[in-house]
Amino acid sequence: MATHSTAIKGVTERATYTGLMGWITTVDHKRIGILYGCTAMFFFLVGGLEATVVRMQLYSPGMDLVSPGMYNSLFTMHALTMIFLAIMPLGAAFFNFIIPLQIGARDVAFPRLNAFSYWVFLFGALILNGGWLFNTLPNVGWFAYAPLTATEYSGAGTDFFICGLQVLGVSSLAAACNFIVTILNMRAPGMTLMRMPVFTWMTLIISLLLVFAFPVLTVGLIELMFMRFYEMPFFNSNQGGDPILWQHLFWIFGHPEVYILILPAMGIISDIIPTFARKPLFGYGFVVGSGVAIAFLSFAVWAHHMFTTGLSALAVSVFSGATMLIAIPTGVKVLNWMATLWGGSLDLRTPMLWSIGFIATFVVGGLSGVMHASPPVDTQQQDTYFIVAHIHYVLFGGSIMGIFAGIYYWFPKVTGRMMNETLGKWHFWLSFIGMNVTFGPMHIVGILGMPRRIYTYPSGMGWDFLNQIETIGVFIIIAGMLFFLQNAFRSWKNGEIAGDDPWDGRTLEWTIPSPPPEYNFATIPVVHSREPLWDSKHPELGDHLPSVTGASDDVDTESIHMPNASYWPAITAIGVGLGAALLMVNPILSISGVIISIVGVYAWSFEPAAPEGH
Amino acid sequence: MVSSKRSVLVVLLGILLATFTFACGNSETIPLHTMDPKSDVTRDIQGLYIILFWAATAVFFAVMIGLVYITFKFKRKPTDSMPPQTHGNRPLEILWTILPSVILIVILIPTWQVIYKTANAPEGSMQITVTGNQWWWEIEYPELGVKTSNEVHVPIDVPVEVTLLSNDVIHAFWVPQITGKKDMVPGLENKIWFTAEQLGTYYGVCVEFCGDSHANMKFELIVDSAEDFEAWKTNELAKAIEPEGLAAEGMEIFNSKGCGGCHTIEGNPYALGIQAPILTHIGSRNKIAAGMLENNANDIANWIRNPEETKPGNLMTANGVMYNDNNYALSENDIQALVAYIQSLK
Repeated sequence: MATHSTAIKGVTERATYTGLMGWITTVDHKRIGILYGCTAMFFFLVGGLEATVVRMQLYSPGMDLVSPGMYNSLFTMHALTMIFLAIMPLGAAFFNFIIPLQIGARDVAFPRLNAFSYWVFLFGALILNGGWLFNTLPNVGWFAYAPLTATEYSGAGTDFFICGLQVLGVSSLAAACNFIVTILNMRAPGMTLMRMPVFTWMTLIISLLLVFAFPVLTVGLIELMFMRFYEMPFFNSNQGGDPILWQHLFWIFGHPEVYILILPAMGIISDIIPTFARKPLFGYGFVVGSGVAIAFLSFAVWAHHMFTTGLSALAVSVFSGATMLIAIPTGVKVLNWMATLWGGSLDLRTPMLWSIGFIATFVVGGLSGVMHASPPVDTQQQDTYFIVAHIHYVLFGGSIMGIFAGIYYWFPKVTGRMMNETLGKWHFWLSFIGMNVTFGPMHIVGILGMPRRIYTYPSGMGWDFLNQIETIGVFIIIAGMLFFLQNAFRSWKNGEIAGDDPWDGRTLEWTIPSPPPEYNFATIPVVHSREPLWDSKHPELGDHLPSVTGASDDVDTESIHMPNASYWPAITAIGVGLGAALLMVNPILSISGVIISIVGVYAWSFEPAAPEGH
Repeated sequence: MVSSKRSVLVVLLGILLATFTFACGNSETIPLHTMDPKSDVTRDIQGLYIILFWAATAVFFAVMIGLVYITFKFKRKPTDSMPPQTHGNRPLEILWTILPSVILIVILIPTWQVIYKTANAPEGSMQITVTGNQWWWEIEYPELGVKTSNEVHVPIDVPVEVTLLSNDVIHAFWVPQITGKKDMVPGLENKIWFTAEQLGTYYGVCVEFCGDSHANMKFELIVDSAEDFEAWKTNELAKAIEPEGLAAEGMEIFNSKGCGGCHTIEGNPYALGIQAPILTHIGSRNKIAAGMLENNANDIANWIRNPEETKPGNLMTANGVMYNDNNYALSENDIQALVAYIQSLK
């Protein structure tokens, strides 16, 4: 494409940086997506390592690999890392890279806010992990039930938990607002809401969930902070506070959070399955509607985490009914994916394998979820390994499987190169088998009464053999991950050249070069149908007007309006991170962080957003 | 192709078989088995669980077989032409929106029935109060005047209502064969009830994460015959036995080290503390250290020598003068005398 050289010339006239500075100052959604993806993948490995130590400690009765305190820190950090530093930001990586490409936009609505979100996320992650430096990690569980979090019962680790999550919340909220505005306002002409790809739909839903759910946690964390720092009573029953109030606040956030983790995966496979089946998604309206229904219901089910806390029989009955209702839209989605597969021409390449694997394992997690939606049964399962099995079938068998499907699917678009199919299949099969070997027996060991969050157990409980199998399973997963890392590093530099549309894609991101030029679309496409690329490739199959798609040779790319690079978002984020970190030392000192943030925002506001003349 | 399909089916059936093999067994060999009900309440829960289990199993096999079948049947072949571009089918969609709703109604109705059936204890149930502490259980029978620790006795075939409290953080009371889990929340009075239907000793644990030694907070629930319960009650109501010989030396040491600042022994005027388990009749219990150790000389000595080994983070190590001041450290003779005293407290 002849336009590329001119495009680069056009770009260099803007404020740009190269090398490391280029990454720090970037406001390009694609580079920010890569930053999110690499950081999150790093933390995914950290969280995996934490889980490995946990599993090794449980390999046999009475193991003494780590101290009880360390064990409690490890399972707490494993959950926090996987949820907030791996799965959520991996989702964010996809939102960043893919959403503007899927809706035919040149960037997100607020590119510098986007950069700010990433840097705040990074500093939040560092604060959350700051306990490693001072040997005082959070050790109260990721749910941090009061009054175990009171100063009488827990140390500074809880402060790292509070300040880390608070900062991560800033990042999530900024990103969520950004994506809501981007998706609602920056779609290409003709792309009505009901023509959006399902992944874009799910991103919109998740962003709305974040905006409504995260502030509740923020409030809870502020109250917890005041309880710890200034001895205010909020959740401390000794002073007249209510420990159950924390649980309500936490789970009003925590349950929507579960869907924040799973809906990106559902969106990803809803885009992948049609591509590899060469068939449109069956019941698009129902799949999207189910996503919306799940999001609504997610705010009405939080108390199913609290069935055993002493809620009234009426409350328990209502929340149990609402929880079971979620099975309906979830079931509708599963059946629609299967109906999409039905009658297709299924190309079982790596992204498709992960997607089908997703359906298989996610269904298991869904079914066990219905079982403990029944409160009496829940009283025999809650806080046992049955629940551990459930959440891992949903988060590993669901979210992680979907995310890997997405990585194999969009890697060619991100890097311009294909991932290796053979290594990818090894990765898939080892992960699929490993995850079932690790988490499958947990159902049984839970039914046999093994409580979760215990650092050791005596022999003679009937749990020994199953625990050994589970620990062996972890190493199968690790073997799979080695194949993935090898594949990713090798393919990034030396993979087969992908071209614009390696999978015979259906949506707009496959109409432009891989990797996409900074401006994405030389001309903004005009969309006439739900699958614009597919319909323009196969006009005989549909009755739509062919959509006008992205790349065009006769466009002066120099005139494309693109934002300036800026280091102010990063500096503002440093202020936020510093302020939160110093809060743990002395609230007065944290004013210095506030000042840096104010200076950052001020400078950012007066800096030209784009080069002169645009 | 057929053989791969068959092998997938074999794997699925293998999973089901393995599940059954492991889930068989009972509380004799697997002390915390959740599917071996020995009370009316857990029997009701079990009935509900069976319905859910079969409903889930049926859906699991339907989806898995469907998914495997579809994957093999529609796998791309070189001869494939363009598949028909189906966008959906409204009657089908409506059908599979209604179908799961029907399954849910089938499980929701018995769920609600069991919730209400197990909600309130029958009038006149025997009352017990259990209070959670980091990491032991305080047990009181307000009507009988009995106070003890870490071992609950209930008479068979008598409805029992347990009030659950906590002195510090949230704990949870769970004896899988006798009662489902319920949280012990500081500032709240939660209640459970049950009627035990079979004599025996049942295993209970704390199942809400409660700090460093959460894994080390256990107890036993013993279902007695009416006569045994009466005998147990009479013994519990008595004051502690006056120790003799080595045991009397043990009491001297117990008192001089200030153990009674935290422990209560009825009849010993220097043992009135309430921060730690009541020891009045500890010699008659099956276990010591909240279900962690056997009640024999060796285990008691080990516990006194180094409580931290059994229960990291415990208050005895933190507050006991003998662990924090070398001038008060226990000699091996002291420990043996203390063991004799503890064992004498029948």
